[in-house]
Amino acid sequence: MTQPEVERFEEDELVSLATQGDQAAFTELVKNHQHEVYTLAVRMVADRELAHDVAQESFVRAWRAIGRFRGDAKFSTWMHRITVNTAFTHRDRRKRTAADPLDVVYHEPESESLSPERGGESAAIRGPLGDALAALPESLRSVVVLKDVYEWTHVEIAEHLDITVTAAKVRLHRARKSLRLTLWSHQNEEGA
Amino acid sequence: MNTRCAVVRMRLPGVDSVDQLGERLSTHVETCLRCQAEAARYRTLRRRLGSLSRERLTAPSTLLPSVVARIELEETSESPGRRVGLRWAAVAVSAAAGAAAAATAGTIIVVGLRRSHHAA
Repeated sequence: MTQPEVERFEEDELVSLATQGDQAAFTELVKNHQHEVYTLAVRMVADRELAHDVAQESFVRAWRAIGRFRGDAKFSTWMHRITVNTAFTHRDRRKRTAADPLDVVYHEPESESLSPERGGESAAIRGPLGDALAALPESLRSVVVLKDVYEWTHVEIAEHLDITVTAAKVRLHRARKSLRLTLWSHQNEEGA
Repeated sequence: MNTRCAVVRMRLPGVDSVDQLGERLSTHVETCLRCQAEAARYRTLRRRLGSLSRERLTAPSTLLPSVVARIELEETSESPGRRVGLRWAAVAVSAAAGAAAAATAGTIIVVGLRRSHHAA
């Protein structure tokens, strides 16, 4: 058995135990997937603090629903879907309570000292592409992240974001165009 | 920049490859250096976005304990699993009570019948 096969086998075991209510097995799954879920949450909401809440809520929702997980998809795929839905719930909640919605530029706390590990994270989020992504309106950012980073289809995006397939395509078009203009601003569309 | 260049630039953000522009426009791109450069920018953009899928941020050390604490809190209060268990317990108690009631009723009827039989 190869290493990925062993990992898959172990994950299947953990999922099987978790579906029967084994809390320790579910905790292991959280341990194994926390970074991945947190990464997706950061990319969706472009705010670390909110991403922590989204990731936490996603795992709690997963625990509540784990008994209904039939294993048709991988556990990670299932978690991605829950995380995207949770990010949107938080967005809607925040829109209702805050004057300024999520369409804001991502801000790294200035006073926070960065460990080498955190420095690496920061580079992964920031940098020209990270900054350009964070600066996109949330409605555009979520579509381009799901399509071009996580390779979701337009149909999947439309279903999860509760929009039409045409709207998903339009948003992707706008998002990519905006990113292109930001990243190659010195080479405008009229040609360099 | 001619009309075809303008159409290519308008459509490039929405496609995953130049082939999806259709034969006429993709043929134009093959012969137009400006359109090739623009197509290359979008190709680079998609490749860079795709490479983000391999990057992992490190979750804050508070995430795992906070999830465990939330789950434990739910379990100690009324969790769905607990509710199911309680529901089954309630069904079992009702069934036992029903059976006891039926048995009592049966005994009363039998006793009543015997008494009326003896009286007759």
